Amino acid sequence: VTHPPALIDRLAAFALGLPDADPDGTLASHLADGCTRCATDLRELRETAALLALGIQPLDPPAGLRERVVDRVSGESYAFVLSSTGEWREDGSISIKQLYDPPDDGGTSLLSLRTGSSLEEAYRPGHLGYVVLRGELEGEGLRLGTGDFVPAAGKMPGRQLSVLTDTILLAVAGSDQAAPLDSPRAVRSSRAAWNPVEPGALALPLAGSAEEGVEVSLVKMEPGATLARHRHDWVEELCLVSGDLRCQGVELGPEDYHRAGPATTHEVATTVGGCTMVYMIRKRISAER
Amino acid sequence: VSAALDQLDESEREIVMLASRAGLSLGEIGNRLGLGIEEVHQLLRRGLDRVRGSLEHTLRREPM
Repeated sequence: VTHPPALIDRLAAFALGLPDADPDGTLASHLADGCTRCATDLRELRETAALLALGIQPLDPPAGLRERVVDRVSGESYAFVLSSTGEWREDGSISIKQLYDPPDDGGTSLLSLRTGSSLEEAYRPGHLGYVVLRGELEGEGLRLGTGDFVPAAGKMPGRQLSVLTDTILLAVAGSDQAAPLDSPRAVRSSRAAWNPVEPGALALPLAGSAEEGVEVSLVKMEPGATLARHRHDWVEELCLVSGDLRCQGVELGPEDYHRAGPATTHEVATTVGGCTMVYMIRKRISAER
Repeated sequence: VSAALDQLDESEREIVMLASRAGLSLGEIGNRLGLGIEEVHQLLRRGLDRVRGSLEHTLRREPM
């Protein structure tokens, strides 16, 4: 294996997950070819990057820096809605922040429910299910908290769950005619079996399937873990539940949302202190199905 | 860690800080400092290697 110096130099920016670290993918394919020397270098550089991030006082970022970074990377391919951006609007007894509103299909939104309200009040046509980002719900023999999933429709229409403390839900919707996702049960993340997906990363499927066009999972990353650079032909969405994630050069925290359109490439995503996120894939289902 | 950063040349330190904490792309760092992408790559790589070297030296002297 040859090691052009330019490629070796690229490893540092790649380890930090900078969006333009490896624009032509040469380094990623070199690593995929199994170069053990570069893989070792990369691991050491990531450790150094994590130590740096843990050990130094965060630079006081200039006001609005994150929003400016978001403006730079946002476009048709990549979108971000940070917890500090987007618009909450009152809708009946709840507040809604739309994160994704594709034509002819359901989208993704955040719902804010106040203590004492009911999950029933959050239901809108097309809703498939909810992930609890913050708060607590109880009813139907269930007690749900952060990271838990509940399908929008149960055996009986509407969900009789009371909101115990102010709650933020991530609502996943399909088109108005969409059938409920194949997930008859609520999923309690603390009691479920997680699958390893990459070193230091575990996934827990919550609902949906490739056939249904929407898949919703939780992904948990250990401190210092990375998600490999990858290209996808479908829409990928993620929303942080807790922790930190650096994705496309943007630092994300709890309730920050990111989406990448079809036929885009995600650069390496890194976490310093670890994180848990909701991860969604949307694939167009052909009209005849 | 801050002692390790102090060991760096000014340009290396600035690039390491901008790349690791400020959320800027290589292109933006280059524009800000008047450097080409390849130079930013080189300085960033050298900076991180030197930070690692100093940290290893310190960790060896003061086992945790």
